[in-house]
Amino acid sequence: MERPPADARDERDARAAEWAARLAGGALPTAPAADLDRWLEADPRHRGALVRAQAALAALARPPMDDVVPAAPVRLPPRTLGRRALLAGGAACGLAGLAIALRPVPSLATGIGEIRQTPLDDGSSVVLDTATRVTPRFSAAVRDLRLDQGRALFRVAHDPARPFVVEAAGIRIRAMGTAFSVAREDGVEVLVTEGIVEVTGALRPARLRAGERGRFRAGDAASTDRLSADAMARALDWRDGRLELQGQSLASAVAAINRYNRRPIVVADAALAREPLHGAFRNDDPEGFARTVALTLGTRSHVENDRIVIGP
Amino acid sequence: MAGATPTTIDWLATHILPHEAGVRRWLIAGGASPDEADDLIQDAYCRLGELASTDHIASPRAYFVRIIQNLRRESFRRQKVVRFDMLTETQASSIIDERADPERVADARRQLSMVAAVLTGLPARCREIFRLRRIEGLSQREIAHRMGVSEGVVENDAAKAIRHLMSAMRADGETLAGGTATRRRA
Repeated sequence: MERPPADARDERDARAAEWAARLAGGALPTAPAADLDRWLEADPRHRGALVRAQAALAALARPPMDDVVPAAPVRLPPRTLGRRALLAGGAACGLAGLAIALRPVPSLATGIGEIRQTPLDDGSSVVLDTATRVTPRFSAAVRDLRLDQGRALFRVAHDPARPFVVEAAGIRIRAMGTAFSVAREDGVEVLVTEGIVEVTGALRPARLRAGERGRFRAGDAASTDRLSADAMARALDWRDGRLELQGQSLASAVAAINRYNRRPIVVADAALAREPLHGAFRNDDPEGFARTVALTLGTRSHVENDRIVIGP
Repeated sequence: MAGATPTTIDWLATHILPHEAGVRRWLIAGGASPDEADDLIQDAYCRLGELASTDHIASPRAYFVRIIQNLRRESFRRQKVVRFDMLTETQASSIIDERADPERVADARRQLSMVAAVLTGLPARCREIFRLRRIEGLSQREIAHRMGVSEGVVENDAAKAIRHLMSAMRADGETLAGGTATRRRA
């Protein structure tokens, strides 16, 4: 071998490169395979380093005719086409292909204080708010999801052949290609940021357009209203783990922060609780929030018995 | 070990590798240390390597970026530290534009010239090994036989070239990451 590796990253890359080269020679005999497994187990980063090394080898070993880069950008076929091709492939190679196309997705969940964006198999994506559970049940005909609890924002990949339906507490929200959030809190709140959704399950079916908000309850009358662009953006701030306040009361800000944290904030003084607040805060740092607010409002904050108290 | 399938590895080489330097640059410009950027990228490869099918991914670069953003958010949360500076940075440079096709082509060109430079810079024997592989499509065993060396020698030379490319890609992403290189959504 040549000069010793300069640092840990080089050392890791060097080992990854060796394994990638050995794997390219064919299946490993038992003893080296066990060595490789040991190396992969030793550090969670090793697996990624190996994949990267294998991709590097593939790039180096590729025949030169692939080296032609198109002068004009190449458009990928529309997604529906891709899926149809995949389904056809599934039919051709039997169960294996079908298993890929119809693979059931386990339910997606976040804990308290966690916000997570997850891509879905169809190219859509979902952002789960704190303490949320969504169970996707996709089939070839329909993209069905159930919001079991919490709040989620869905960005739906356009596919007229396969409607995207979210069910929450008996309310069904049906979309084609659009973005909307659904929250289970005192009924079901739906907020549409792009496109149109159809909501059924309440007293009457309803249609919500971009910029509209609806509150629904199974079998009950619905209420809808239109939000300004600003209000809409604020209503979706939770995606970034962020709480933006523009004059809301301390009481309502605290209620929002408390949904993300196990240790609640308590406001010790009723007059203080009505104080309006401005500014952006992270919603996963209640102590920092309490300190900043106390400083702004000229009071104190302290921690006592698993709660954070703002006030004198 | 299960490992990534040859199809997935090939897809990574074609669709992800060319964007690695750009993504690394974007991470570092957004406040990540080179080590953090390295860990995130490695982690993303690990997840991408687990993909059973890549047919559903219409925009590989956007997918790559999204995985990295998710990993980064997770690591922010694990740190449990208020870092307003980082929060603003991530939002400002929120995502590399998914529709920037000219950039995608530029990334691909850059990657090709990097591969070419690595191949040209190899010692003669190693270069011949890759020529036989690329042009004549020989396997490692056939190459060893043709050149009258052991398979171990072929593997070692291949590993050396892989290492060169890996560090060239990393250096590319790190050296170009200036403070003002933050790319924004148009």
